[in-house]
Amino acid sequence: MNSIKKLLIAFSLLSLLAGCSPDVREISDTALVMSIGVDYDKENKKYTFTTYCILPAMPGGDKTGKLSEWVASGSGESFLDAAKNLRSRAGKSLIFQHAKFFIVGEEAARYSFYEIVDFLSRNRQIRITSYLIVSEGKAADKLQVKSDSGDLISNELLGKVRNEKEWGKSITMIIRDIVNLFPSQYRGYVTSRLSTAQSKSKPHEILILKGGAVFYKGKFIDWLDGNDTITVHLLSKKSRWKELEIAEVIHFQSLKLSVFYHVSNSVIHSSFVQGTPKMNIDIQLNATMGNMDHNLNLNRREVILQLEQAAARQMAAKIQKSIDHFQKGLKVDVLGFSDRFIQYHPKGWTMLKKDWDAVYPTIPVQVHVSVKIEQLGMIQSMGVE
Amino acid sequence: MEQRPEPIRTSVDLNVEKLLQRFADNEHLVVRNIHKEEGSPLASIVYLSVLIDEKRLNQQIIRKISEDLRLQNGSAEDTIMESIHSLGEIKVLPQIDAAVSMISDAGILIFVEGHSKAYGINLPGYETRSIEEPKLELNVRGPREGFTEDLQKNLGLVYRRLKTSELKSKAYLIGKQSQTSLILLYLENKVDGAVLKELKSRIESINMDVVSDSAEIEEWIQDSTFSPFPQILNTERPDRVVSALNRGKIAIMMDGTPIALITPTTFFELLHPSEDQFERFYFANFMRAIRMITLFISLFGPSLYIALTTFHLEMIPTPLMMTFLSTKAGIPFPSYVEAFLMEIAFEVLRDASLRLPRIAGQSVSIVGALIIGEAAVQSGIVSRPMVIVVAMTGIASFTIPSFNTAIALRMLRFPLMLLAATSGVFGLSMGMFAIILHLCSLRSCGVLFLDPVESASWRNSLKKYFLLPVRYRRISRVKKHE
Repeated sequence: MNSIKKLLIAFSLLSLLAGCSPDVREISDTALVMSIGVDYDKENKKYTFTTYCILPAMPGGDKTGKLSEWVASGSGESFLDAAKNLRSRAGKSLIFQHAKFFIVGEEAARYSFYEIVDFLSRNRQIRITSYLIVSEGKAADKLQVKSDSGDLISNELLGKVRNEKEWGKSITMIIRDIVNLFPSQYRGYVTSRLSTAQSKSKPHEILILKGGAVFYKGKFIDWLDGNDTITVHLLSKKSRWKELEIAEVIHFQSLKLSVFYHVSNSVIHSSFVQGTPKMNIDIQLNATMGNMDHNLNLNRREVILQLEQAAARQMAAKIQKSIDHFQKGLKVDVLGFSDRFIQYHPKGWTMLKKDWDAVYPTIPVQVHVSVKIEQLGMIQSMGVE
Repeated sequence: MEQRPEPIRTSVDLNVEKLLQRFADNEHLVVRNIHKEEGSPLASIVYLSVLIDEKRLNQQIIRKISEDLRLQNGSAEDTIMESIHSLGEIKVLPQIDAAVSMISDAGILIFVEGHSKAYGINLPGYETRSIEEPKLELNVRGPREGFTEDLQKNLGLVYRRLKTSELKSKAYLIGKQSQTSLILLYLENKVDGAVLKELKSRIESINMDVVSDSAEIEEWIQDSTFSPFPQILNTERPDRVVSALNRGKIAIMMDGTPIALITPTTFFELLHPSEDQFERFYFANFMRAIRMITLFISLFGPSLYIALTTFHLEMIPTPLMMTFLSTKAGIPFPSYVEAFLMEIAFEVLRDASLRLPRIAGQSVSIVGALIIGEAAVQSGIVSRPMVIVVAMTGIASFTIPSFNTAIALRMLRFPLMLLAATSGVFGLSMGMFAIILHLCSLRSCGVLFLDPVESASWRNSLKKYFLLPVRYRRISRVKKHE
């Protein structure tokens, strides 16, 4: 009985504690940080940390029950300093765990990327599964842009990332993958590129997620266009191309055909022939007919075979062109050839690695694409010649 | 010092005088004398007029005795004895004390001149309720009979369903003043002897003046008095008693209450209605799974919400978080105050609608749930998600068929809410830990309270928690924990 009395007294004391706990964060006193932008001013050596937050609209107004957007930035001598200086402007406690996007300004990516990655991997509040995107120009400006659909821009960006697998012309990486690839001395990696364009329906600019930003040896090198990111998608891990769907216009005889491809298999072979490295790329695509501009006799097997060959040639040329750009233009091992040599030819790699930067552009790469038209669609022909 | 039992004398007058002394100041004691001729009575009939069926007494017993006396051959006393014996079940009572309790127990007492014994016949004449559908344990399918306040009827309902000589009973009289009869029922071949012995000794230890409901018996014989959880199942369904007896349990039935007790009971039996056995087993198991969830919700619903919204904002999915953010805007109270307000409001409404007459009860729940709830949200005193959480929790607790288990869970919600408000999920897990430890330590008549979970393996526990089709159902019997 005595112990029960003690227990009850202890319980009643707990009610006094309820208000004192230092960790309590009431939901109504918080601002949810949905996206973070970081910028670096090389001349003044100033760092800027911008947050795109949502907070509950103030009660009393007619917007009660709605959310309002709020963009705030702080600057300082380091990212942490800038982030802390931001607090002078914030009237709410900032919750970073829900930030899905970490947008890096072009200048910051070029000159202080090491610091960014270091900050991100040390920080406990920003999830390592959030996306890292490089913006053309300043990231802070991008967060000020109004969305095209009227939704929150973070939601819109999330939708854009989700749509990536349906067209392949952007490629977004999560922070964890970037942190993993960051220390590599030999290979580069690509994350997507955020730019703005004039909206056709609205008077303001809108955000465009297209193309890629190439990083190598810890800094931003150059932009990639959409066709090149398709190649990166195709030649990455299976998880990247498994659900990928890419559209392609095929010029066949005098016809213009649109198909979309699903990747059924994608293999990179590497070999060492008499001390010289060689790469073989083998991609199998399944095509679905989208539309065509004239009638074509699809009943005949050889027509389809010819069509498949033409499509394969065109796709191979496209991939070859991208790879040439990676090798000769960028001189960055975006596709991770070096990883293959390290894993499959460790002896050869010891010779290669000293002058990898010189060897990489010269490696012969053979691209072989096979296309199989699996589905013609609901009809054979429109019935008009 | 123990008093020696008072014997019954051979003189009718003396005996009647004794009884009149015992029942002094009782307006209802009636003494009727049977005379042959003038002089002292041959026999006396004594009874309490409020308890017995006087019509039957007059028309059957007294008429029979007087007719027999008229046609008598042999001595008058012998004739009376003969007619008494032809009246049916007769109890021969050698002492005054027994005679007194016979009168109190709706009986008539016959003293015959020259016999040092009293003869008692039970002749209850009070009104009892007829057998109705159980009020608390409603079933969609299954028997519709429920116990009444009459022990004889109740026993009949059980005996009718178990036609075996293995069905044993043991009767007790509980309460010094009320002298309430209490019957233990069990199946000899199924029951665990150790449990039975334990239970008998507990019942013998009951020391009360008046027992008015089996709830008092339950309190007295349960293992842990201060536990919030009931450890004895109560039911008003004879079919439930029968299936419990078949599992080696002991039923305790008491006169004057429609509620029978079943012990030993395990925690999970309290969670399932008897209907489970009558439903198709897919559905029964689906409902058992649902009830596991509602058990969790009714215990942790509001506290989990408090913990998540005050400490672990990162654990809430972003879209949900945005919804919370917009609904919580401008609410003047922190989450835990909100939750306390709403929980207490809910308990108030529940109790109010229970106490009011049925017709008014409905209007209370409408006013409470709709008007107050909606007004509180509209005026920005409580947030919408909190209303949903509290309502969901309340409804979840009603799915648990055992009323007092649901009450236990509802009460435990409050300390858990405090724990959640002070230390978040950490506090919540400590609370959960404490509750589980407590449940593990509980026994019901020496049988583990968390029975299927504790024993052997997960597989076995699940098999026992869920029902197999009747064909494959193996009846598990309770065993005392060593």
